[in-house]
Amino acid sequence: MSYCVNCGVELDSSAKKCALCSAPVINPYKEQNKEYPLPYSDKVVLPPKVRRRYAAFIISMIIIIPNIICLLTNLIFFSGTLWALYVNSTSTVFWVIFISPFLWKKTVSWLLVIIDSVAVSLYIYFFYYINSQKGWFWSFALPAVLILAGFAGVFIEWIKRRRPDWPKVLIAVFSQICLYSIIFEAMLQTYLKGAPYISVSLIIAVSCLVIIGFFVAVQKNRHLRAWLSRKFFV
Amino acid sequence: MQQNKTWFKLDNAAKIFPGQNTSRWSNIFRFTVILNQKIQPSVLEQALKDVLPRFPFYDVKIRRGLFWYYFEKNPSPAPPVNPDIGNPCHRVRFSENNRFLFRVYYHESKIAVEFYHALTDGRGASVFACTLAAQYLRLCGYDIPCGESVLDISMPAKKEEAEDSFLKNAGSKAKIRRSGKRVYHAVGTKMPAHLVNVTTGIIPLNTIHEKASSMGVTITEFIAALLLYVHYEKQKAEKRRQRQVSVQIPVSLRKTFGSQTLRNYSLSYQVRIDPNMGDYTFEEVLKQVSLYLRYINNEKTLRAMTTANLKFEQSYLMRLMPLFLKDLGVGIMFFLTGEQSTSALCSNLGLVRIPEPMQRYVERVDLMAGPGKLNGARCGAVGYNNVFSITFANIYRESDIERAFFTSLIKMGIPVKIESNRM
Repeated sequence: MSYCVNCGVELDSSAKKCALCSAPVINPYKEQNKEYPLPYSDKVVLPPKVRRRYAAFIISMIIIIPNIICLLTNLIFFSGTLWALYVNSTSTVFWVIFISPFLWKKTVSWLLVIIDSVAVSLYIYFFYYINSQKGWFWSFALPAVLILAGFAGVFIEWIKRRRPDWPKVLIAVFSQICLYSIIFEAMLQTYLKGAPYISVSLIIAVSCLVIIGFFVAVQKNRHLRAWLSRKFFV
Repeated sequence: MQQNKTWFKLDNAAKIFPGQNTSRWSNIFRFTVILNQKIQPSVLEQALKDVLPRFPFYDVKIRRGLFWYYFEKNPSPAPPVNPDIGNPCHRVRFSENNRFLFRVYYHESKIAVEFYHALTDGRGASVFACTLAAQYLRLCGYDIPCGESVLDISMPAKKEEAEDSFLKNAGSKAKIRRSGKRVYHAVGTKMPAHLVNVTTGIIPLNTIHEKASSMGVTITEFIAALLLYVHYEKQKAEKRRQRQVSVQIPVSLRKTFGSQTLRNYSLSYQVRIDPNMGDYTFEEVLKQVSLYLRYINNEKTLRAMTTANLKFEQSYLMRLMPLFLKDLGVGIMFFLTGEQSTSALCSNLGLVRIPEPMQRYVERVDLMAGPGKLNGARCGAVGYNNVFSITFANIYRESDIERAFFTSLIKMGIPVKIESNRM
């Protein structure tokens, strides 16, 4: 039998370190090559995840039914207009962004970002086309969507590769909101007034910077971080 | 309970558990019987099939009604018997495990049964696990009689074993509610989802009993006070705003009300100390715990607490509320009050007794409380022969609570042997 020199407790024969203080077990009288049975299994079995595809399928069906009803009502009773297309296009874009990822066996983030960007771009283009307007889609809306997609793609890849802790994630989110709001307003003002003026986005940017400052402090203060984790655990 | 009854209601304590059950967390605990020989899985599987009909209240699956969950007879023969895993007490999903709400594992010489708390409490789990171990030993060729915690599997279940004793023994005019005041929680680095650190301290029962007696308290009071004191000291060392520290102590009501039920029949006390009132010594904490438990542990108070708990399920408004709204409400209430009002849990099942011929083959029994959401170290204790085992289930990587607890025992002259799943 071995004892922990640090804690004074007797340790299990299979123990290579103390379970309480991690002090290594050095017992010259213990047979070195003998395999001692472990007190607990070393095999970790994680429970399977929720059947997401099944849930996504049910939700898809629930979305499809009112859309079909809208379309049929439109075609039968209001044949002069095509208002059901607004409902259908909105539902489709909602489905592509929020439901379709759960139907995939394995989610590929970059593909998801591309599909979502295409869906949103087409959705905006639909309104642009229906209202027979010119200019704003190509010079403002499409670049805004593509830049947003770029931000999202970089963010997702960063999360996947670095696995940052939650304060860093929030710092990144608010940094992106800060930057994107400035770019968005500059593009909008360029389209409307011909020059990249910024005003509202400055308020957003300053607010974001204050929040970023708070989370930087959280990141550095272990107690504050633990307190927030405890208070807002999900 | 009649053997042919196909469905029955959840008891009062069980009603809150399904509403909190999520894909990351369930209220599940483990009772382990450690034999002196290696377990043969095929024999254990047969023993489980033999034993299960004696426990019709565990041979069930949970279903959703419009207003309440209910148990229904499970048509499957038995849950699978699996090799043990290193992450015990992970979440329950009602559609898995052949829809049974308990799981059976084996590892070397251990038979472990994990129960979803909606089915039963520690007492029911211990009777089931001991009866299963006894039948296993019988199938291995040993002559094991019935008695104590080993039930006669040739007899049908008694009606009293399946009764909802909460309903039977409520009826006080007074209602005592538990306090929901927020208290201190020890913090650390959280383990990934579904993983938990388990640390068992094995102690000679006579030594800890002598120590507790010399201080004029019971073993439950002694370990609860020590756990409370460890948390109090930890908070003091953290030099933060000092909150109250509380330990939750579940108490079986069977002895007080003469119940034989094998379903849930326990209540929880909360013993608190307030560091803002001044510095405490261990002796002072021990005195406070001991006096509080002795003051509150009487039939009238327990009946009033039971009545207060039953108020929820007996209210017409609650009864008519659709289940999904109840689930939502229970989830929010648990988030706001549940573990927020307790720093730690200390569940002592007491002494498990088995027939004398069986004692030759059983080395130890363990009780592991389910891992918490906020409570770092949740402590389950049980005694058998001259062995007292205290198991901590910790959702944090750090082992400072367990270390402080067990080294305090060592300093008091109580030897401790440690087993853990920390590699």
